[in-house]
Amino acid sequence: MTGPIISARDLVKTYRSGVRALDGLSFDVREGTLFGLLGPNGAGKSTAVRILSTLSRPDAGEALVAGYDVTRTPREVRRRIGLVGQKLSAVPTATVRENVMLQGRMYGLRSRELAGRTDDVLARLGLAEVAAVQAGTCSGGMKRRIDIAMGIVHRPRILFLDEPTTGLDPDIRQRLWADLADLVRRDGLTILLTTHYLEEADELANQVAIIDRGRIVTTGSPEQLKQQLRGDTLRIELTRAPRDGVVGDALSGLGGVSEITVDGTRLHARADDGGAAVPVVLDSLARAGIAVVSVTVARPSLDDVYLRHTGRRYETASAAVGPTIGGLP
Amino acid sequence: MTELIGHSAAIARRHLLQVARQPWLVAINLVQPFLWLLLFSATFHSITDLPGFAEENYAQFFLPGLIVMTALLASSWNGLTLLGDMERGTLDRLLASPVRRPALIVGPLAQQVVSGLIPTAILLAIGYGLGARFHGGLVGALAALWALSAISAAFAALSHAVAMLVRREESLIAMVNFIVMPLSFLSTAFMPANLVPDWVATGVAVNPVNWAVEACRAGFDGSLGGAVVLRLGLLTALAVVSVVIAQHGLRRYCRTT
Ligand SMILES: Nc1ncnc2c1ncn2[C@@H]1O[C@H](COP(=O)(O)OP(=O)(O)OP(=O)(O)O)[C@@H](O)[C@H]1O
Ligand SMILES: [Mg+2]
Repeated sequence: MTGPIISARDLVKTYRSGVRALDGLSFDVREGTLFGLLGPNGAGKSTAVRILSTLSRPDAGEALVAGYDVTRTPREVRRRIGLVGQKLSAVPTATVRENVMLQGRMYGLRSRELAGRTDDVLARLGLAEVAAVQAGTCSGGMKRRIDIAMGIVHRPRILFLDEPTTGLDPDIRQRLWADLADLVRRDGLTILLTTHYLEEADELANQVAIIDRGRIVTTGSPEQLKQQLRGDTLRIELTRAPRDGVVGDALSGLGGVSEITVDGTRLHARADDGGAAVPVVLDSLARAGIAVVSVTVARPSLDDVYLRHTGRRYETASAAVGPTIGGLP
Repeated sequence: MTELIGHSAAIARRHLLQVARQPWLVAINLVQPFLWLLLFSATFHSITDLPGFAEENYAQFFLPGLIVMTALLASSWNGLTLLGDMERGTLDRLLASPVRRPALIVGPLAQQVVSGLIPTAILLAIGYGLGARFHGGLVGALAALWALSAISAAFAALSHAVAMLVRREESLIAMVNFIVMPLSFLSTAFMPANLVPDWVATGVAVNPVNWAVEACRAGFDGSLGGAVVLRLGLLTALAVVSVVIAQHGLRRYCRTT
């Protein structure tokens, strides 16, 4: 297939509560890549995944998955996808193995082949030792793996993962990232993953789309997105919050420094050349009587991309759930 | 069709495993009928002397009704598993697979019919100890089994339909308590119809639970006739209609998420 393997066009979804979860969502995913749908809580990520995996119907717009329309030919879509939803799905009283086998049966896999594939995916995801253990007694990280095993036992072409690493310890998350990257590289699987961790999208995705209030605000590879922001980010910690406008006046005349924002005692600015800008900026601040605690120069992160496109800092938008990251030094 | 059977069997198997791994649930459901059987057999002993009471022994009379009630109640809780599946992502995962949709209803329903045999067997054994005897032969046994399976299937399916509609455990529990228990009391499970007031008898006649109780008892006593065939037919029709309603509930559930 040459075109995109997933293509969403102008998807709109309004829940009966009146919430418009998707508001003209469009994006494409190329086969054999890992696509990251990045956005804060309530951005519409799960709704998008539910529509693409045929669980929910859009009010308007259309989506093709593996060449099939999700509303007109859902069964064809279902045969070709795997889903790891936001909620864990293993039956607690069934063993890990039974859970995976049950899922495989739904795709018409026969006993012998199914048993073989189940052993394969369990080994692959490091679940072989717990195969005979009831899923309910497994740890959170393992349960996530069981879900992934259930999602790939039938060898789908596309795997949807809705916030697969939320709530996992950092080292378990790292391990999961390695497994996902491996599935794309070795098996040619296409993965669409949603996340609200900037770091995760940055690390894993070939292509990232930032979703905010049901729309894609920007899309590209993590590098492309960061390159949209030429230059460096300056983060300056002040001893106390300056009066309105003082900082702007002090720095306004400086060439090569732009997008100055002050948030309490934190000053953000973009500089064409961060290293050269530091002494000049510090000098100007000192002359305006503004005392500085520390200065950091950083390459732009996805956090900065988010800020630029939505006008809000990512950390504020996602109400600081879990560790918020974004290439911060 | 083979696909539907395969999917239903796989899902039924999963639900049976769930029952097998939580045997205390079966045990809990047996406590009440067990106590009733002991208590009523002892206290209602003299009822059997009343004119119009055919059976020689209250356990003999009460056992078929009790078996039906026990199966009925267990089936009515069947939707709780569905609620658990909804709560977790289990239902979503299944719905995102090419599973034949009816299997999501037929599977748990088949489990209910099969696992209902366990309390039935236990109650039969206890009843035997209290003097109840089976006089129906093979045909009687089949008739009783049919009645039991049909009423179980019907209420398991209805329980699913309600679960998909209310989507909350408390609401399902309330529904069961408000509907299923009265239906049981409005039957000849405890008292023959000729010993209750007329208005009660009318209610009893149109109560599906009573159809099952009567058919089951006829199977027990070996008093099979046209009335039993009619009741089995009605019960089967009820089971089919209930499955259709549950299917409808599932479709509605999928449309509204
Ligand atoms: N079933 C529903 N009924 C009503 N509103 C809903 C429903 N599901 C989601 N919403 C609302 O739609 C919006 C988008 O929700 P969605 O779950 O798609 O966001 P999300 O990006 O997945 O968020 P999170 O990171 O919290 O999972 C939110 O405002 C949410 O409250
Ligand atoms: Mg979500």
